[in-house]
Amino acid sequence: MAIITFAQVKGGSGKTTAAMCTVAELVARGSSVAALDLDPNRPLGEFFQRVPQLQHVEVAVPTSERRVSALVRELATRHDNIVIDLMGAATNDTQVAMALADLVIVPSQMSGTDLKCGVETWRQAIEAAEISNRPIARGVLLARTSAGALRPRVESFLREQYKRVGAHVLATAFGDRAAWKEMTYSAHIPHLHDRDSNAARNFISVFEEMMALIQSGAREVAAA
Amino acid sequence: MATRNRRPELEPPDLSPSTRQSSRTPPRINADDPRFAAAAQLETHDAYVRGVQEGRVRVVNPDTLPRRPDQQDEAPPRRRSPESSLSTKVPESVMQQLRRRYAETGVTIRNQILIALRKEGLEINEDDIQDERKRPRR
Repeated sequence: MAIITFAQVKGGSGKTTAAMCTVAELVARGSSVAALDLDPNRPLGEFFQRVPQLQHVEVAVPTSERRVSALVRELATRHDNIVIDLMGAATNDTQVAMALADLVIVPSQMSGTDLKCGVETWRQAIEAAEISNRPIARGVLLARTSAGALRPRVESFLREQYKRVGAHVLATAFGDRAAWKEMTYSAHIPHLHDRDSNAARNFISVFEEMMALIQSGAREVAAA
Repeated sequence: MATRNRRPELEPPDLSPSTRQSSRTPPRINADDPRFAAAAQLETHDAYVRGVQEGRVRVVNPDTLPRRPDQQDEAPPRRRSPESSLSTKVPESVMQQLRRRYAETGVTIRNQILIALRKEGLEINEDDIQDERKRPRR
C-alpha cells in the first residue's frame, strides 16, 4: 500500500501527466488504485473515463464536508494505492497531501522558476514529515527533459542545484515525448498499450525508481 | 550402430516484465494510522492562517478551505431534491460492510449508496449527498 503525492507549487511542471502515468502503471501491474484530484480543473477523472482500462479507477474529489484526510482514509479502506494530484500552486492542500504520503514526487522542468518552486516544495515536504513525525520518501522528477542520449548542460546544472539543497533527484528523467502530449487526445498510454515502446520504457524506469524510494522509506519506518 | 541421444532443445525463459505487484509493496494502510490525524491537524483554520502568515499558502482551494471556528455551526447546504423512500434487501455481508464503513468513516449508509451510484454514472447533486443529521435543530 502506498500513498503517492505529486506536488509542485508551480503549475505546468508535469504533475498531472506523471500522476496519470502512475495510475496507469499500477493498473498495468494489476494493483488496486484510486486517485484524489485536488486540481479544480479535475483532469484525472475526465482522462480515465476515456481509457477503457482505467474507467474503473475511483477518482475522489474533496468537498467542504469531505476533507482531504477523511477522503484518503476512506479510500485507503478500499484500495492498495492512492495517487494524489495537487493544484499547481502553494495551496492549503499542499502540506495536507504531503503529510498523508508515503512518497512525495516533485516534478520539475528546467527553468529557474521550476527550480525555485521545486526547492520550496521539497522544503514543504520535509516540514510535512516533521509535522507528521514520520519519514516520508521524496524525490524530484525532472520532466520534459531531452529524450535523446545526450544530457543537455542545463539538466546537469539543475541536478547540481537540487543536490546543493539536499534534494534527491531521480536518476531517470521523464523525457519530453510527443506520446505524453498526445495521450490525453488519443487515450493511448504507452506503458499500458505498448510496453515495448521507448516512451513506455522511460516511464516504467521512473516508476521502478519511485517504488524503490517507497521501499527505502518503509525500511526507515521499520528502523525508527 | 547405436544412435546418439540428442540433447533437448534449450527453451528461452519468459523474460517479459512481470505484471504482478511487487511483493515488496508495504501492506494496506490502517484507518487509524497516525498520518491521518497529523494531516487533519493541517486542515484546521488555525493551520491555514499560519500557512498564509508564513507564506506556505498563497492560493486557496475553495473546495477545501477550512471554515473559521465561528462558522463551524453554520448549517451545511440542504438537500435540494424531493426525496422518496426506498426499501430493499441486500445480503447480510453487504449490510455488515456498509455498517463497518459508516463506523470507520462516518459516511452514512444512504450516502455510501448514493456515492456508489454516482460513480456508476447516475446524476446526483452534491447537495443531495448531505448528512442532514449534522444540521443544527431549530
